[in-house]
Amino acid sequence: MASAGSGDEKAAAAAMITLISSDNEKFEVTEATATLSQTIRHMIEDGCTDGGVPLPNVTSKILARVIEYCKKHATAAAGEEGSSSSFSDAAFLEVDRAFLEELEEFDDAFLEVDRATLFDLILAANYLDIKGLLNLTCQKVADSVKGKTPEQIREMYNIVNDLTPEEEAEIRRETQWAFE
Amino acid sequence: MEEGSSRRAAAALPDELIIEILARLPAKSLCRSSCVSRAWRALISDPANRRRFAQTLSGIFFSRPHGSWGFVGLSTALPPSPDMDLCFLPLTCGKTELLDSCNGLLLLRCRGTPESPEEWVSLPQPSRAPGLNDGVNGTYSAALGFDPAVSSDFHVFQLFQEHFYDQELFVVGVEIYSSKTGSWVFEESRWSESDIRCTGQMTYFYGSLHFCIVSNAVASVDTEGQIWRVSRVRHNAMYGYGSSICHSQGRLLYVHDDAWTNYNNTLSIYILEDHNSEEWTWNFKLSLYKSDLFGPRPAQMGWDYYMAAFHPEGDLVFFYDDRQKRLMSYDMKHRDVHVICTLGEVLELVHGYDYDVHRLFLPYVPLYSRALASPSVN
Repeated sequence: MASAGSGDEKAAAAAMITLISSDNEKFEVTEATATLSQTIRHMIEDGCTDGGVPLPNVTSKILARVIEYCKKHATAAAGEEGSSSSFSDAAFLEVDRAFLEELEEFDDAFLEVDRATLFDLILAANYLDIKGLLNLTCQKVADSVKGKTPEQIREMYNIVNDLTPEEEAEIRRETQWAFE
Repeated sequence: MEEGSSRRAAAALPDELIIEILARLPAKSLCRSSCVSRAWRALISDPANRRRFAQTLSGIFFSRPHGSWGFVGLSTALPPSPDMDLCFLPLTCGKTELLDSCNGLLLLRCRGTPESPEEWVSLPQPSRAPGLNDGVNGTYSAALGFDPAVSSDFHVFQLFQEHFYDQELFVVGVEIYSSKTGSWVFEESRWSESDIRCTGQMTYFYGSLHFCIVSNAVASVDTEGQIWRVSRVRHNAMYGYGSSICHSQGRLLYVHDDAWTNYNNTLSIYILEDHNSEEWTWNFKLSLYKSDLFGPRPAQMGWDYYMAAFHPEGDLVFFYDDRQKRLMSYDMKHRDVHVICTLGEVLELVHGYDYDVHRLFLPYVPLYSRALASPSVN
């Protein structure tokens, strides 16, 4: 089982896909990396990736970051399959744990971006349908909102307060327990 | 330039992605976020999105005369209960009593054969018939133990009480139902003392049922019937008839009413800071004068108000004023009283020493999940 599996992975790794950003930059990635995106996976299944996959909603700057994420996580997914199918002894669990820790560190470092990039990453993760990346980036924004006042949230994300003072007072009165 | 693009990006997130972000907020932050803008408020209060968001206290059930109930929704900014008209309750099954509400589950006691809609699970009969108070035995008090954050299984506790001396009911055992096994197990009391007279007030918190007993203490038993604890809250007060217990923000709270020992009419709130410690220490948090809550009124022994609920995430207590039939909230931080509404039809409060009353008010936190384990009940 294990050897057949890794043979398939090698075959998959050999297949390369070309992604084309909105500003016409070309990125060549393995199929394993590309198919972390459900959107691209479906395109591959439909056989319409010859000549490259145009991604008119994603700039080269953002696409490069997304690919960086997918490469790391595609390796992780392959590693997990490899270890869980045949071995489960302590040594392999240890390797798994070390790998998960490394992945967590990678994710933390990956999220060290300015807010504009973070929003662009959310949009790209949504468009490309990459669940892990969407969860990671949305959680990052949610964490930054936790414990903040409405004023701080507005300022942080440039949101215009279009509630009338009366409406705002009404909401605050009803949910006063939430405001310290 | 960076600033300019940030401005654009923030505005460019479509609603579905703002919902993705809001869905990852705890209830308190979500509540504050409804004040950010009109668009955010609309997304948060839209019933279509309700299932995705963290839930908190959405309202309070209250007992009406003749075995029916009402429901008061507490906020229009947050989604109210979807079932405010109570149409989901199986009212057709003869005499039905609402016994408990715990993290989205409701516990009903029905006489006769209930018509069981899909959403309800009929439990098998415990060894002692529920709802008894025949002068010898009592199986009046029952409670739910359910925490969806820990497990989709639930437990039901039925206290088994016996009459001693002057008609007083003493808890001598607990019968516990587990949805995992689908059966009841009776456990004889292993509390360190025998004077366990339940005041009727109870709450489920961290795997145990906790209830107030008359000697100003809290009796606890866990879902396995393994851990039995009596912790004294006040050492100098003899009568805990008017006491109640709740939990809020991860801590147990005990409210003592001194109306039974003198006529100061003061409520004292105690907090258990660390429920993991071996020795439980209840710390005094604050005193509340009833006149500050309800306005000046003649002193009265016993009930003329009822503690309805503590807000699970905020420093907010809900009281029912029996004299003026009002439901009100008290903000402990700002010492602020607010009248929510008038409830004409609440079940008459029982005066005197007949303390084993139902919980007349039950806080309700909705649960939007089909994850509840269906037990193998025949």
